[in-house]
Amino acid sequence: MNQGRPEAAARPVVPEELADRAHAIVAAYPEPKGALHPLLDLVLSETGSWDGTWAGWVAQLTGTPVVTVHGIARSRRLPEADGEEIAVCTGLSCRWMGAEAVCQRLQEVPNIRVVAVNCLGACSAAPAMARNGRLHDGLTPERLDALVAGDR
Amino acid sequence: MRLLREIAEMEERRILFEGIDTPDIDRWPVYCKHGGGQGLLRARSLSPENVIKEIQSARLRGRGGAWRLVGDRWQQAQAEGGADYVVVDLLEPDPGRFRDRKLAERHPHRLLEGARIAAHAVGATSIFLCIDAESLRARQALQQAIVATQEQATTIQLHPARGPFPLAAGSSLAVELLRGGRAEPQADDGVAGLDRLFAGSAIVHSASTLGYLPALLATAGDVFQTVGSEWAPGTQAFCVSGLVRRPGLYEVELGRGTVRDLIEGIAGGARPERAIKFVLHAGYGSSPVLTAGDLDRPLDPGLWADPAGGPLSGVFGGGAVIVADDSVCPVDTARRLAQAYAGAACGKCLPCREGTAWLAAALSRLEAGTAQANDLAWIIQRCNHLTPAVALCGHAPSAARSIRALHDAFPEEFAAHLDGGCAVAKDLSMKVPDSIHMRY
Repeated sequence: MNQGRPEAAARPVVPEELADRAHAIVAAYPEPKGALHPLLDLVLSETGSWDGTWAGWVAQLTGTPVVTVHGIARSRRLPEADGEEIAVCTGLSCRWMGAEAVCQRLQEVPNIRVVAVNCLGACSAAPAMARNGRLHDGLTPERLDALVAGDR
Repeated sequence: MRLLREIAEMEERRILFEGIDTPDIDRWPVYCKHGGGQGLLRARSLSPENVIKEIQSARLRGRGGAWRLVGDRWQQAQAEGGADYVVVDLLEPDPGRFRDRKLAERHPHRLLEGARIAAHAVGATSIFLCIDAESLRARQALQQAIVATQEQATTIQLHPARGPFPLAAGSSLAVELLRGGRAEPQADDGVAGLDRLFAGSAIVHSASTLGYLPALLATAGDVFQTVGSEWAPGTQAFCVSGLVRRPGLYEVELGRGTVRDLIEGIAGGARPERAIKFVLHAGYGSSPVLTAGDLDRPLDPGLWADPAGGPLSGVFGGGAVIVADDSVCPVDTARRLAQAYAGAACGKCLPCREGTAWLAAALSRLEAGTAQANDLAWIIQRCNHLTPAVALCGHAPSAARSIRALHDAFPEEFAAHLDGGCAVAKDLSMKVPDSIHMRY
């Protein structure tokens, strides 16, 4: 089983702007290792996915073993590489306010992957979902239909 | 009559969120125009020792949930040579809590001003804001505020980290994320409330705690003189969610009114033709489940913190209040809680990793009516075993306490599920509250 392991030989082609931002983040910490989590977030938010080739780059910047970087990254909530994903909050408040109905409605929509998550931090405005990282809370059947139809 | 009188008396009292409704309060010139920055100016005109004395006499307690005296922590830190870093914990992994995030989104300068005051008091020159990377609005607001107020005296750095995070993990989680470690809490290696970070030491505060400092310093502590209880002066912002008519964020005076006043008064109570069934007061499981008959507990954390374990004892928590009405099944709630805990377990402690997953599976069987006769007894036994003695942080014990508390509050409903029956007509349709308070 080699699946999910970092490819030691492969190195990503890092755009200059991304490299500059990464170096600025590292410089803000007394020790480079402190920048590990912000760098993981930078890679994930800029590339939309994580694969082992980035682990070597982050490891080099932070002075951390590649396997450690990869292990930490794989334990985080990672976006899927393809397709649109909608995260529906299924925490208690959202569940009671209709998260299941939201999931059922979204599952009728083709080409959308519905993911149940524990909490999106919008408990008073339940039910809530996040589409492409953007939070939509206070959902009503009408609002949900409008969102599904792309009328945001 | 008593209830009506107290409901009438209880009203919002904003100190932490003062001015939050002012348009563009997240912009530095607007913040300054409305009195912002005065607390920091005054703090820097005083010696750190005098700032600490003022906070000690104001008796400000940390709002993250532990309710420790902030001034005493600072004094201890100073006695140990001061702290090099102030770490602001904005993670809020406990579901039901969103107060710090709202403060960061809408009132970022208040948070930064408070953090700078704390840095002045403990001698720190760097501030790290540890935040869930997916709180995009809060990150953006804080970043803009940092850029608008850059200075040489204190550097401020956002530290975004991706979840999931263990619940009730304590301050060591934020520090571990800053060390570049896994999202795993550590055993307390700090001295005098300090955590070791890089080659120095750090003091960790929740964002809400720091948000009180500007008002306290600007008024030399006067703002707490007449507000709040003797044990805990000031206010608390409660995140009220669930099945009430007016969910939202409510800042109210501590020691004035009861849980019932908060839920049935300010938050509007149950929906029409429904009744409050139970309340998870401190979010997920840190406190006993409050049933409809327990709602007259006063909102005074000092009474809840009774070390003798009296009838009011329990964890007052960090301000999450999740309300269930009679359309909610407690077994379904316990199952969902267990699944949430199992999903967020970091995996470091075996009893937690395996125990929460086992509880989730067993409660799923119970809820589905496919449990075996001894499953319920096993669930309770496992809950009793998941104590702080077997876990590194509060995650697993919190899960166990919440499930056990739900069982203790509704034993008949749990027992009925052994026979495959659920007496509750669950309503999982989409609902719209009358209004949402402080929704931005």
